[in-house]
Amino acid sequence: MHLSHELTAYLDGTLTAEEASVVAAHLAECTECRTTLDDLRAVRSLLHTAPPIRPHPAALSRTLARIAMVETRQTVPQWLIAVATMAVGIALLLQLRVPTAPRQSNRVSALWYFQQQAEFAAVHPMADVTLTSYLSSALPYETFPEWPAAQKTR
Amino acid sequence: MERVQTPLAGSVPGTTFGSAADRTASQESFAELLAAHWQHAYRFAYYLTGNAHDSEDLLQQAAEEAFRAFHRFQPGTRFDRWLFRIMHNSFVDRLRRERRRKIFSLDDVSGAAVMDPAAGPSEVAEGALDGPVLRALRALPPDARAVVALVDLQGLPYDAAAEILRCPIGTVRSRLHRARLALREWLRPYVDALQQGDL
Repeated sequence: MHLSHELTAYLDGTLTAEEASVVAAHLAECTECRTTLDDLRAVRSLLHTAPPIRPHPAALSRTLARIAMVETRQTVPQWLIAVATMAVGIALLLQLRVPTAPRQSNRVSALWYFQQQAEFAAVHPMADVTLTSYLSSALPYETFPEWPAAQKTR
Repeated sequence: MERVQTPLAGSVPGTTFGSAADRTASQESFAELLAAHWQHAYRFAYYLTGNAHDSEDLLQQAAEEAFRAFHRFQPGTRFDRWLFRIMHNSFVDRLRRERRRKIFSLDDVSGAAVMDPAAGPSEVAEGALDGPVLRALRALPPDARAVVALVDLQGLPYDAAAEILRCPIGTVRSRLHRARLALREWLRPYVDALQQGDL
């Protein structure tokens, strides 16, 4: 019966005196365990030849700068985040507001309608997509009497 | 009988907090402690990851996590061990993510790739042994590599390694033993040369 991890602990001096004496008694009689112990000691010595790894000189300052940014992010008050979120929400609601389409299907009211849309879009650029979608579905074809004719001639 | 374990930060100033007032000065205190243990922390990260880029990345992540959790740091305890534990947790998380992505697994690396059979011990110039030793270290499974890095390369005692790796001391001992036996086989030519006085 050979020793196992007791040898590593013995080598590192982490056994109790009683445990160490038991291991020492075994080693006195077991050539194989003595060989293993010598090998383990050599491995440990080889590991000590590992190079002194050094970080990049700027690594610490980079890390501290990142940490300073973390702290900056953390110091933004919660109430300020809530107010900003509410303001963004209100702004989005305003952007999505679309004037109702004209009930009269004549050219004058349609021009007036597009003028209103153009003014609104100038102030609310984000509403363009909404307007296009809305107009394509809601605006009656007879608003442009010449439009079907133009399509026929193509 | 030899004793090789020495406290990691025995010669490093600022290892522990002296008073509660120090604890409240979070960023300055943290920066001082991090700077004092920077070299050791980087070395541990390098032994875990095996290359400079990943080690700096890992240390950066660990430092940020440690800073966010700095209010939980216990005065009078060892900052280096606390940081090492956070870093090891981050390392294990990374390994899990990488395994899920099936990019590669460090466990799949075999010791056969460690040694260059053409390079005998007699050809090893002074200082050139670093390559085989570090390659052999990288070939170990991550849990064994962490134990070797802490105990053999950083000089920490078993109980500190157990605290950092969150495992019993007996586990540290058995992992270390298995790791050294594996390294013995992979570094056999160098082990023999060392025992014969050729190194």
